[in-house]
Amino acid sequence: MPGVKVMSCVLCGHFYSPPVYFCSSCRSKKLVETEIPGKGVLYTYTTVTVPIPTLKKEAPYILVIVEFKEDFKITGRLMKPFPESIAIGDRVELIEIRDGIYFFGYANNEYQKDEIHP
Amino acid sequence: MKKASVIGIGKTKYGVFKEKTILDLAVEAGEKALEDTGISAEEVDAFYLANYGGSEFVNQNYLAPFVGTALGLRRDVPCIHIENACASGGSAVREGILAIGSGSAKMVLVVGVEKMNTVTISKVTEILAKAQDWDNEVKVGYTFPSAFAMMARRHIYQYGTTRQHLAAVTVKNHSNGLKNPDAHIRKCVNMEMVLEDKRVIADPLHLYDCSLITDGASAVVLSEKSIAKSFSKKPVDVIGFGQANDLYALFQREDLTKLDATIEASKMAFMMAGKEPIDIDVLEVHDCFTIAEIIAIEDLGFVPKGYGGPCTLDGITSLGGKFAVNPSGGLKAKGHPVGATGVDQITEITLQLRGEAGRRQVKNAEIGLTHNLGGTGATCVVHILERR
Repeated sequence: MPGVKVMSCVLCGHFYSPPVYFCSSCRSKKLVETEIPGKGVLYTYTTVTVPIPTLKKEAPYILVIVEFKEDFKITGRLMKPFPESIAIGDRVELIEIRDGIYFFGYANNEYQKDEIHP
Repeated sequence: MKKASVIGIGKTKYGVFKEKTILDLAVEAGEKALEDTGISAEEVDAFYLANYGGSEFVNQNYLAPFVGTALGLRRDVPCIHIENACASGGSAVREGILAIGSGSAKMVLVVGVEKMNTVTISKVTEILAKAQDWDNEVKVGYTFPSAFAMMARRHIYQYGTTRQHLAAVTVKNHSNGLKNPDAHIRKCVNMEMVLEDKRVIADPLHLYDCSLITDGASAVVLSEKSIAKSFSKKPVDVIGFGQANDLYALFQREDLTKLDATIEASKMAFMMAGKEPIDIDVLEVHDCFTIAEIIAIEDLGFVPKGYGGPCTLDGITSLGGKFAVNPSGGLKAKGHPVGATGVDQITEITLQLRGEAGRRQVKNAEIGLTHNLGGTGATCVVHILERR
């Protein structure tokens, strides 16, 4: 499981991904790069059936916003094959990062990372 | 600061107009507003043009002097283009009010216009998506419906909002749109039709949850309050306004069941006006998706958080209800020509406060409010208007 590269505020410890110019929690500009385990819970999600033209072949796909216990969220997609049921609060983990996009999945699901899809 | 009044309004019909250019639409609305005011284009001191996607929908950028030329404005008139996504219109009206307030203009024309039915729906989706974070949202696969779908999913989870609640917004706004001769879609839509519809766009949002892809333009003329009466028998005074922002991308926000920009902008507007939600008779809110109307009436303080759905289903926001929301039919039925929407909300509330809204008239409407969102809520503009 790859980790999530984040910026961490030196003063108050808040995490950000993607990188930010300052900490919006304490307004400090002192942030350092670090990595945290890619484990979080589903905050919200949707299945997109009508995408923008360049993503037509990939639809339907599932967008997710994942909340981390470190009190921040990142967004990405759910890795195929999709589980039979999905619910807010489900535990998910980062499976891979492809073209800068986070792909999350379920720990008990089997994923083939080298497939040319999502 | 000098106070401003709305002294003239004009708009095109809303719909799909293949034969009309963006200029045709903007000039028609602008001229109607000038005619309604009883002034000529030469009396305008400042011009604001609201438009979102001209450069992509019709290959035309730099629209303010383009429309200004076609209208025949004086050479000493500043022509200013405002682009603030779906809140372009509301932002342009606010700039107009500030121009009056500063004393730099006595008479301001604001035109909002969008011509969208020039490309495929998939391309429209992409053009609109550019009002989201391209690298961190759109590349991942975000579209506008999907962003609001994720807000809806969270609202359902936290507050028990149901498909039926969302559908109640659709049914109400189509019912209102049926009474608006300028609306894009005028048809009766009942609860059964909405709930049985299988056309999912981004679950839980279906086609019936989404606003329309519309061509159209709307315009208002603003003047100093002190001279308004000499131009209009029924001037409508701007008694409060506010504009606020929120973090740009959805994942940056703490809670997706509320929009901080709405909360802050309305707080400012209510404070300036010295009014509360209970004083408002009629509202035009930004129902780009059904969930957006539910969240809006909560964030504006008209119903407690989480009650937007049940209150809509109960008819509180229907014509004849406690406070009418979107008597025009809203973005859902009247249509959503992106750059025009915020301006049109002002024309609708002005009509209502003048008592000239015909079959969709809210009885004895004295004070009205407009709520215009940009993007997925990173901008909100609120105006409060009062009849004399």
